[in-house]
Amino acid sequence: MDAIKLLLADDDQLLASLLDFRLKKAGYNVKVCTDGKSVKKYLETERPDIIVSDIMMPYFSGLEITDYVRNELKLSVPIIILSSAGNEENVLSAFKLGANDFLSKPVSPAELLLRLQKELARI
Amino acid sequence: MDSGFFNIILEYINIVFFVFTAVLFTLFTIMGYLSTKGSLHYKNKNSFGDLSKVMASPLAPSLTIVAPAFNEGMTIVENIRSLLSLKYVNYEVMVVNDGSKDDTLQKMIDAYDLVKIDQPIDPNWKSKPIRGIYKSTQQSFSKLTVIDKENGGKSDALNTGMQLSENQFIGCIDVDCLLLPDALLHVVKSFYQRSEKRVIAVGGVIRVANSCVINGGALEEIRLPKNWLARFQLLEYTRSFLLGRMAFGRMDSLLIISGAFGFFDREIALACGGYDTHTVGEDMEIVFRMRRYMVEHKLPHTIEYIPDALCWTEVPESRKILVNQRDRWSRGNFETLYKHRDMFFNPKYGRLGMISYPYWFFYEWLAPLLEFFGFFSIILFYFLGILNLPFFLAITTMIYMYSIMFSFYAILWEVYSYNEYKNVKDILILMGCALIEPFVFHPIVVFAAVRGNYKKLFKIKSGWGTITRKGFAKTT
Amino acid sequence: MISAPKIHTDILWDLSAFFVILAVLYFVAIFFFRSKFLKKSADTNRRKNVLAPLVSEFLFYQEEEGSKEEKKSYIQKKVEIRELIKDPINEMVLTEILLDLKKDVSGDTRKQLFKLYKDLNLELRAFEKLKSWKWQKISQAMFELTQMQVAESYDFISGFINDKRSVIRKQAEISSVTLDKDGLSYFLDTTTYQISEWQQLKILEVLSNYDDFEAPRFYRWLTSKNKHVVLFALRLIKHYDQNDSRGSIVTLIRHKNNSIKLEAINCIKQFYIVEAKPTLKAAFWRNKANVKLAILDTLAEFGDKEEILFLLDVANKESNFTVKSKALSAINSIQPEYIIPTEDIELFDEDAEEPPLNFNTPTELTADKENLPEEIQEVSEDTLPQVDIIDRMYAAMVEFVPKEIPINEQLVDQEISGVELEQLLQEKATLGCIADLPFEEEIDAAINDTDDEISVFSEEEQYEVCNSTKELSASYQSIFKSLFEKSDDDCKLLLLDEMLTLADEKDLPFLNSLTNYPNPIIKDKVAFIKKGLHERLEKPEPAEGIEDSVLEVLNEISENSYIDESQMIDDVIKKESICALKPRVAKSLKSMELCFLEDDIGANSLDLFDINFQIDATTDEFRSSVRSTETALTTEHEQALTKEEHGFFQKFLDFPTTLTDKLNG
Repeated sequence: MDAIKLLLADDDQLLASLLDFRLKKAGYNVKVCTDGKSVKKYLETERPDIIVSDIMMPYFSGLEITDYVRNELKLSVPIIILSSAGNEENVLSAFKLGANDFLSKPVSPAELLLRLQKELARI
Repeated sequence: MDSGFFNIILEYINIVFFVFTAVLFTLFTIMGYLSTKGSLHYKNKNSFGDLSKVMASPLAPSLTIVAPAFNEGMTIVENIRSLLSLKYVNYEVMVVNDGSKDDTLQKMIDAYDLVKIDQPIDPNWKSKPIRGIYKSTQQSFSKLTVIDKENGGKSDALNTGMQLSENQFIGCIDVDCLLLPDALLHVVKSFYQRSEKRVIAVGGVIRVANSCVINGGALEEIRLPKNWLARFQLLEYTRSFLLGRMAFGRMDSLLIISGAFGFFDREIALACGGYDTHTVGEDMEIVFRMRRYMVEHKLPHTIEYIPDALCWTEVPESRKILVNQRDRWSRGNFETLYKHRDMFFNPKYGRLGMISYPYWFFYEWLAPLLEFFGFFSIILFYFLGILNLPFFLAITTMIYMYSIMFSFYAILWEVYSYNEYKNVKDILILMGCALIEPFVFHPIVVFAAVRGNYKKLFKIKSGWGTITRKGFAKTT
Repeated sequence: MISAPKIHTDILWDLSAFFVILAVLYFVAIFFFRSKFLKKSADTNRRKNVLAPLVSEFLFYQEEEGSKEEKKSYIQKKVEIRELIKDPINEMVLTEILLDLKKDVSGDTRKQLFKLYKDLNLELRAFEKLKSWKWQKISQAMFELTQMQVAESYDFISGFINDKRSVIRKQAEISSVTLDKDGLSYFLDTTTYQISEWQQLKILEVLSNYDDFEAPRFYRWLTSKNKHVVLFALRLIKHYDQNDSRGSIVTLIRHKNNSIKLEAINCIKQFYIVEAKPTLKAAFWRNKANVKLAILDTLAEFGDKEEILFLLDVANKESNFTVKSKALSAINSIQPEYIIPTEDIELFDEDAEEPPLNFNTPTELTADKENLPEEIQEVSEDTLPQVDIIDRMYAAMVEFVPKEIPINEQLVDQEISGVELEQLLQEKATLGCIADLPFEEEIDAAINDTDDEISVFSEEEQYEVCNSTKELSASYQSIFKSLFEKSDDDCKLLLLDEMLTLADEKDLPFLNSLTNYPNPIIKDKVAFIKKGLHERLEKPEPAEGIEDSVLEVLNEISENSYIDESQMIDDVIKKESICALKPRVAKSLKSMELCFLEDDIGANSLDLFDINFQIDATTDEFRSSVRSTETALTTEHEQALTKEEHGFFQKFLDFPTTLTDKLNG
């Protein structure tokens, strides 16, 4: 079986590289994007199995990405949103747009792995 | 003998001119020094620490942002949205529709589902009558209050908001300003970080937003204005905020807070009567009055200045509007200085009376007039054949060089503290502006100042120099 | 001959040259700084790219899981990173990475992060920085140690709590509180400096991050010599709900410092420290507006009827509008019935602005009613703002009269001291324009409030009060009228339905005025209701037993003794004595006389004046409707009162207008 293709979008390079490391270690095939533009570009050609996206990103926010995936690409790929604490409104709109789950920052990598497994088990 | 006497007078004029210039240079140099110190101190002090964690604290004070709107139908909805998305919990946005003649009110009602509510109004309050107070029916816009009132000018609108607000601090801003999400956190911090003195007002830097990319109420990309007039103003704002205000803030003798971004302790502002509706320089006048109030009641106080770039605004891009704006500023300046003339070199007011007020009097009000009349007398002298040409050339060159040097210093600080314009080309353009400014931009400003004073002195009525908003450039 | 000192142009040229040099210097500096910043950030990025993967490696390394190979490479990498951080810049960058990551990760990874920080001996460098003489370095080091939760640094850092450099001091405070659970106590014990509001915010934020914070008992610090500590302690007491220092908090109302006062009052409000009421009231007048507002807020929260007198006094004497209206709203929240006068008065003014419906329909309106709007209009044009307030005052004052008797004398659960009773009686007497009241000399000196309040009314005014009561009943407007005008057609129909059960004779003129109503449905309904109402009103009221007959006797007595002033009212009473609501209203109006009778009749017959027994006379529908609308009220007594006062108030609505009209000539 091929490794699960995971798209990780976060503008914080440091956190992205840390999560990238952990996820790769867990056997995922990770693609890291650090802004909304590159996410869209990647999605033009590739179809990840799961998307993990931060909300606050340059060019396109995580919400816009969610909207793009669900309404333009019409994909049902699971989306997990990362958001900083105290941003409940955004999380709410993310769910409305079709996000499957959310994690608030600071992120626990172990928790992220668990949620990923849960989402993947669902499909 | 006559001509000898005349020559002496001429020479004395030269000396007076020279001394004036020398004092000016000294002052500006001191300002440069102080602002440098201030900026460095600020940078060191605030380089770490996360503000946003504090915003939900139960001790966080309540704030009201009062934004007067007059014929803003084109941009009002977008602007309010950006005001509602600031990073803070305990705040309220009060938009005062100052009897707009366009569809400002209707647009707000439609966009935010506003309904009229009942709220008692102090019958003794002197503002223009209120037609109605509106609140949104949607929970997500609960921070918004819209007040519809008869037209009474900006000060009147701000007074109404100040009166109706019940919060501890009130922010008076131009509704078309773009505030960065962190703005209120910085403001609250500035109000709260002192304990030995009461912070009665907080002001901040105004940055030029022309040609910047603004998307969904957020600043996405900072660009140098494409319009030359705006570029000159950018340079001017950099000088005046980064060097001027910073220095005065450091000396604790700020006498002006920009009307586009000013926060006040509501209690003090109301105690001294709010904004003066009889002047066009209300933003300057209220600070004068609040400071005088505190000094006269012997209350230790201060005004804080935030050097972070929190407020972005569009500056006029047409010469006519610019002249109108500056004309109004100089009138306001004159009115305020005249109203508070007993502060002039009055030791009772400490540094305010001995430094700030004279600075405003000599260099903000008098200098443009001197320049204007100096220019014509020089032409006159030249034709009369009594111009001391070598002296004239020397001093003109010196002043020119000084102005360039000072502008360069401002640009240096701009780079040092923000470094927002990434291209080398942008910096070079700004420097080019500094080089040609004395010939191109400065005369316009001087002309506007003279016109303003002329109008004021000869009581010519004139309307408000309103800025026709182009609306921020939007991307998809 | 005098000559001016010469200015050598050479100097000017030299200066120009100097400025040019400076300008060039700045020009260079601009590009120097630019490239330096860019280089620096590029360099840092490069180093970060090297160090970050290593950090990730360490953070996710699990000893048990790793194979031999992995262990080997782990050790190798550890050596590598130690080698790297010998370079101070690398060490700085690494620290930066760790600080950054700390913000972003939680859980086990965060713990690993702290471990790594110590493993690499990064804290030693921070400790060294603490010894620096530069304030920014010291505070940076403290920040770093705190973020990395190096508990050992607590002893060092807490030593800076009284440092004279404010940045260091503030960071030390935050760090001490963060690093050790006893840090807060130590800080509050030792600090001799101010604690700025911002600092308090931040410390509270730190405390809220503790999972298992056991707050010390903060009353310990209420006696601190540092007033900032006292203030902060109060806030903490409030925040942590420590209800164990009521006495000290009440005393702090008398503190010189305004903020402490305000905070103490807030605590009193939160903890319902009812025993603070006398202190609050005593402190009220010597304070500034914002403290006054806080006191009124608190009284509104848990005050009871005893406070109404004080609040009325405030509403009367206070010059500040906000405080004034706060006092009125406080009265309202103590006794919701008080809302009625203000609201109705406002509606009334609106009536004046736009003539109400029934004036457009030419029907059998009484002359009084037709005159009324004009009077109001006059008032509202020139003296409305003041009149509005005066109206409320009077309405509230007068309303006070009938209410207090039944409440104080009948309610079993309420104890009333003799002094208070006297006070009340005196108040009524004054209103009843009896100048030579025997009580007047006996007023207890301690009750200043009552005294002041009474003095507000001049004798002349008192006379006016009496006279104008005559007009009241004449110009009475149905309470349904104002409601009717405000509602849409559906509501109007519902309202009419209600009128069938609730309305009485006074409302008939209003119904009459509606007989020509444009909407046919409403018109029919009006006719129906009118008929029904007539039928209902004609039914005689069942006898109410002994108490009622005593009342009638009393009424007769009072009528005889009071005939001059209240001829009109008495007429009304006689006419409407069969109606359930009528006698009550009449009695309320004449309650001044009843006061006099109280002395003669004696204590045990006082309960005869209770309005409450009258409620039994009303229909069941009435009672149930009262219950449903006034759910907020707990006792039946109060419910009855509320409804009763509706009718009563309607009369008094007209009273201020007529009064001011008279005063205006």
